[in-house]
Amino acid sequence: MMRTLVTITALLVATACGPLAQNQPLVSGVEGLANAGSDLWGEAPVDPRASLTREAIDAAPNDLLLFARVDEELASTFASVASNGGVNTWVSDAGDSLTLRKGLVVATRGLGNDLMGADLAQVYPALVRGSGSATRIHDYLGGEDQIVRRSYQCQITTLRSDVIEIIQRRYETRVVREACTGEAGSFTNVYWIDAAGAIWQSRQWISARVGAVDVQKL
Amino acid sequence: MRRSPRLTIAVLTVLCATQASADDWRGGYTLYGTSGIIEMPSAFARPDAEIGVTLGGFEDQQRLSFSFQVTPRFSGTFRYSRLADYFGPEADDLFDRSFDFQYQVLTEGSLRPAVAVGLRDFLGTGIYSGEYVVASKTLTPRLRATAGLGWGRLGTEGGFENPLGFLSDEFKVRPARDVGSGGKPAFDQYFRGDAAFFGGVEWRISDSFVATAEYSSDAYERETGSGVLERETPFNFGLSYAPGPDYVLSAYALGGSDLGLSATFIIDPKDRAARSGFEAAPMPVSVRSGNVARPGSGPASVPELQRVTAAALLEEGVALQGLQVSGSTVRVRFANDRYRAEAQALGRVARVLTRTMPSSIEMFVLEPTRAGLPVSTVTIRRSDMEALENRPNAAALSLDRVIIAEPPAAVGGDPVNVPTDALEWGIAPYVAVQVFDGSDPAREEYGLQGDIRYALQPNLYLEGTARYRVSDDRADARVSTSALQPVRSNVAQYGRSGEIGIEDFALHWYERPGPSLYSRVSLGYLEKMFAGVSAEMLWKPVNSRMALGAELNYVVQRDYDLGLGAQDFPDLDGIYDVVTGHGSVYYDFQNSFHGRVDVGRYLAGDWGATFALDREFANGWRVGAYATLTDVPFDDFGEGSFDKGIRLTIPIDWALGNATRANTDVRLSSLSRDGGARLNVDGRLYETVRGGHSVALQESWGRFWR
Repeated sequence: MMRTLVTITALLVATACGPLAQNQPLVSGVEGLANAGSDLWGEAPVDPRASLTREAIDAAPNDLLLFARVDEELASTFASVASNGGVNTWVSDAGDSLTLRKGLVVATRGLGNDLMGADLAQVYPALVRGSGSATRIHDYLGGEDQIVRRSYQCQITTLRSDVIEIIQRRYETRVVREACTGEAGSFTNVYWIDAAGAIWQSRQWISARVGAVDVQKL
Repeated sequence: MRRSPRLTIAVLTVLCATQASADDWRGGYTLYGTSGIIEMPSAFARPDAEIGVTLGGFEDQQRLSFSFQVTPRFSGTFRYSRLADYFGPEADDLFDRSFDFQYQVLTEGSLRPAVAVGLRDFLGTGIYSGEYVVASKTLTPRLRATAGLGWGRLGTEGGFENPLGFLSDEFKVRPARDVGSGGKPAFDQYFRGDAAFFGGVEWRISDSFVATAEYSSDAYERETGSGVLERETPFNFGLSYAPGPDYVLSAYALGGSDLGLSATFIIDPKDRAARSGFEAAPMPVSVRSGNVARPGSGPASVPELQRVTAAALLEEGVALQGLQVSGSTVRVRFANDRYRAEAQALGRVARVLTRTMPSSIEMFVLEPTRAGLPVSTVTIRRSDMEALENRPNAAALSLDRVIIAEPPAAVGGDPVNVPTDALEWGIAPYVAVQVFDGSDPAREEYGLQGDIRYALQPNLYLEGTARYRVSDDRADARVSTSALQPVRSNVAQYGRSGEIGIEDFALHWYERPGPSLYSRVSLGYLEKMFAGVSAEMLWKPVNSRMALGAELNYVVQRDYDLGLGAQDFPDLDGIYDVVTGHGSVYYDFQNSFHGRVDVGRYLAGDWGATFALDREFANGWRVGAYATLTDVPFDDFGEGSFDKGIRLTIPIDWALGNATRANTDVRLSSLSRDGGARLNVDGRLYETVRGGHSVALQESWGRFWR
């Protein structure tokens, strides 16, 4: 019987058609699995780091940033598409989004276990100062569709100064570390900040299941 | 006399640390699929809402168990077992269903053990029947001990006179079981007859391995008596491997003579792998800049606004059904075909409107529809969308500012209708698995399925399903033996291998006859076994937890070939027709339970009531039980005595993380008998409308900004 089921499941992918076929749990289930597995057998995505040039960045109609999950090899570019009260939303071709306030990630969408929102009012001033402590509050979706709020206490310290190069441009930065602990665990973020307070590069923690992401302003 | 706060904190930290490591050890499942040691129960409860599916057994007996921690203290288990040679070496295998309950009377304290009372196999044929009182204690973070007193099957090894005998002599003897048609509680047996002690220990060797040993008070009297199996000692030993919270694998030495194996898969319906889902990000809010209209957002014609909005909504999986502008208000009627939570669709529609509406529009009046019926009116201010997007705690803040109200009473006439595709279709293979029916643990049917839907109006449509069956005929399946008209028991006769059969094909008409009222009329081939007309009315205020419904149907039993005709029954000298219908009360309790009572006349002409209680989770999971009692005598009903069962609803988005409204429904222990059978018409009103009502919207409002 197992073999029959496997055969049928395989058939589904091949033969299901028409909009109403999507209403069948079996079909939407297999589709979901196929989407989840498309990285495996789909066309291999190209890492933008291999082809990005300063000319291409300057020619792009929108501001761009480079994004990579620490637990994944591939990076992708996100384009700035909307701005609301000093908060910018950046979107990738895959349909994921990243929302930044002064370079700090305040929300993500499409990563599976997103940061739904964050109160980081104390964090940015402490990062610019290069020392001090701050409270951050993260909003997550729980397993039952409710927002769960998590609070973290963070210590900010300046590690060193560093000159970084982002696609043929050099920036003189300070490397600032933010070490956070809370009931739900602890994490450490690292930021590369220039004299004007702009965060050019950072590693920021999103959620327990997504882990940290690298963000670079292009 | 101030105590040092630092010391208190230190003590608390130590307590919390031991508590945490004890919590981390979730304990084991028995060969019966219940919380316990090997075959003996323990008093520990599983984490609230945990589902454990256990396949376990040894050479002569295998048990597939489904266990659910209904509340933090109360758990229930349904089991389907195969017992080889139970009636003697030459007899057929016995397939048996059984139910267990356990209630934790006392939770574990620092000194006090957890204490639980349980009934095993309390209403089946009684083969595993036994009752117990058990106490369990976590002695060290790595060692747990259990001791208990058992009756019935659990009082057969080292049994002694029932200590409850001092209450009444009746407790001293366990009367012989009058099984009859089975399926009834055996109140005259519980805690009667000899009792015996049992006990055991669980030792956590490492984070993933647990060794177990127990003294079992089940002597397997009948099985050893007939010589099908041996028990040389009452001691059982086991080793369990649980590398994470998702499964447990165990091996056992049983009674010195058998090797036992079990695997338990653990599901937590309160959590999901992708809590926020993998669906694409929503369209960001477009903020109006001061009083200056953005380029391209000046006054546009309504048809143009409809066209642009419909295109943008389609990207979000939402079909626009109406759009009307008046003053600074836009009313938008839409059907969400993608997101299980209507709140998520509302959030996406509101964001799209910030992009497509002229800046003079401030109020968004959103009307989500199901089956063409607006089910609520949700009013959202555009400036709130602009102010709250990306704000901390945005979900709670926005819920405070929206107004959820009754939908307009009339279906048509209000918003301008936007033409959408009237004809939809689909072809896909199908698999239908019937579990635990009759003498087979599972029977599968498969083939090709075609669906069609033609909407004359959003609320008036033809819908049908036809199937071409590839799998073999099931007509050889057990033939009905009930004294009633075979309204369900001959379901296996329906459909032919290698032929196309109409599963259902009917015209459905939905209306809003008045405030808080919804109606449905369905005409045609309503389901696989019956055709006719079905009319339903539902009263459900948008902010109410209670609903009342009434349904009346006149149906004729269909022909076995699933063609257009009616079946001719020789003993009736013609067709079978019946008037059936119910009055229903629905109540959505605040504690996540949902109750329902239906009173009326069933398909076989019997009168009675169905009681159902489900635990519902906002993420779409439902686990529930139901029972139907009618005026059909238990003996006429046949096996099981009356209709009852367990049902599960598993949301596909929970399992896979993609956005879909699809569910899988599983029914356990359904026997497809003829008493207490209801018509299976599609699209009943209550489930159609309640997802758009206040309770459901609020419970899932966390998805508004997703």
